[in-house]
Amino acid sequence: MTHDAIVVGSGAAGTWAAWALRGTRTLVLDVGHRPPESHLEGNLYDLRRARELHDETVGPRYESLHNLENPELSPKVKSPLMRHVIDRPEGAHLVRSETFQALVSYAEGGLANAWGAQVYRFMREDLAGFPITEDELAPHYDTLTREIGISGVEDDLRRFHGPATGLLPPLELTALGRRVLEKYGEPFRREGVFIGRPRLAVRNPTYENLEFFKPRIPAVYTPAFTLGSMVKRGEIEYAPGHLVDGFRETDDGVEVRSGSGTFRAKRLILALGALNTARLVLDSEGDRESRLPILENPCSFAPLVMPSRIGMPIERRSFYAQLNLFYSGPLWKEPVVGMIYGVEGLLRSDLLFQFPLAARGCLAAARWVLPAMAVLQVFYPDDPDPAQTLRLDGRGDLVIDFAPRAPGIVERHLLNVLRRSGLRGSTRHIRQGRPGASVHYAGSLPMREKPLKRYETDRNGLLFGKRRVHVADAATFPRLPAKNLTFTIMANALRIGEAVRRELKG
Amino acid sequence: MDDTLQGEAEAIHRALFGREVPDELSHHYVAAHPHALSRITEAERTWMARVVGADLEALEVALRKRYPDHVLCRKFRLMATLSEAWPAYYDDFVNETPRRFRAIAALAWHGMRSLLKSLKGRILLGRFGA
Repeated sequence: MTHDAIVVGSGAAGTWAAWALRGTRTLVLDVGHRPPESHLEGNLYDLRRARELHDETVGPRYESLHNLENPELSPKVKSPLMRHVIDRPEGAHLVRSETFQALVSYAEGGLANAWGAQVYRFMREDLAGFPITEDELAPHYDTLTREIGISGVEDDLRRFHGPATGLLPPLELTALGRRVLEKYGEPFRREGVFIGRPRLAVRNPTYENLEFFKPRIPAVYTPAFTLGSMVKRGEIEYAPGHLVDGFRETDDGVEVRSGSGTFRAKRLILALGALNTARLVLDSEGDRESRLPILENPCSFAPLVMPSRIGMPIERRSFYAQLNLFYSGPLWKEPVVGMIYGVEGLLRSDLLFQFPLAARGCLAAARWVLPAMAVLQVFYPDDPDPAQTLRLDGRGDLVIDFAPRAPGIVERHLLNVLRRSGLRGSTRHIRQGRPGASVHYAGSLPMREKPLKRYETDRNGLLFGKRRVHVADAATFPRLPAKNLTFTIMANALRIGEAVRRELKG
Repeated sequence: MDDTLQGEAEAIHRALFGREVPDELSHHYVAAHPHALSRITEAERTWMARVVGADLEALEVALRKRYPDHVLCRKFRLMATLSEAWPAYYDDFVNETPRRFRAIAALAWHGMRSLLKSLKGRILLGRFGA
């Protein structure tokens, strides 16, 4: 059977490209790892007090202890019930690098099963270098806002976030977050620092703080929800269990090969993420020579303490993304984004030995100081750089060559300015994220107004030299602003899906 | 091997919590090794066997500053993670009532204690090596 369209991948891009194609004969091909069964319900602290949580927090095979001997995994994917997000299927190619630690997902819903749920619109200045405009993306952002539910408020970050139309009420702030906002004002702005509430794909009434341990908690959006409802309504076909090996254009369509079959369609949309989409394109071309660009937001972390909160009780129900910061001033050529995260949702043992105390002192600090703590994460924009490339090796594995980058300077300024709010942080404790740490990957098949060479895409994601193969994920982003890219991946995939739909009809 | 690891579990648990390790936690400590600490070398095993009767808390804090991935530091992290899954340890990790004075007093005490432990740890490192 020939489908109208095949979408490969079911993450933020694949799901929303498929959404735009509802009503056509669209097939989503995917490995589609699903989360294990879980009976974890309720509040993390009630659960911890009530019963043993070994299987949920450590794991029957001690999965969450991965970081004791291995390169560090984010707390978002290291717990046993979340590991399916990054499990590699048999036969999948590796990503190799000396310097870049890549996370790729083969899960139904993709990496967005473990995203931070932070929602940003790319605005005019963010889209410099893109062949598309803010106005072209706006209706798609609006659709997403309506469909997935975004919480937030209109505040001082409006110039960075855009209008607050259609937003749900914001999540509750912790006492620490409230204190920072109370102290925030003109002196911060004069220093180029703007603080407000994040916009989050999180629904308040049902939220419990299990996002590090329980997959698909209903309050936090994942594309798997949208995919599931489309399948349930019969709007698309979904075929998990397929690791796609390659594709080729034929006279009248496209053939897609997986280990268990060949599928045919009039159009193909690739949406495996910037790394795996590039790998599949290079492999399908049999190209072991070309180097493609790769972008990733550099990031850094710094612990913060509000001394006035030491000895105060734990906040039992707070989402970890508490406050959003932007720096816009002379220290960096374009806005830099920061987020203040609460640490209440993590296990204490994840942070315990960070304190400069003997073991029992660390335990005391966990009890008394952690409720006063937060983490500042800062993201910088990224532009193409000849020292950041990917290619295939002889085995077809993806090799990323990525030169270490100089640390930024904005976090130092932010730490100084945040002192005015009662938050203390030391520049000595700033930790630069290793390349790959932000998990914001893009730019391997960049879109151009007029693509001129192989491995570029046009404004509708059409791959140069092809007539029927589109790319819908962040591989098409020619550069990365500092803002989290996931919401724009969804909006752009919707836009590209609609363009493909028009072609199918025309 | 299991007896050796159970002995370690007892010593590390006592260093961390100041009390006896429950059997079930000791069992998990032993069972976790092939999964989480499978790359421990023979030299590290021998070193652990030599130090297990010494002040492990002092050794750990002295090592953590210089060698954060030292085998003893990893074993402390293992014990902390395993124990946190049990309700019996909830109050060791979490405070649910405002106790500001007690917190500041406890932190001051542990600050001084940690200095002494660190000094003792350095002396022990002179004896046992790293």
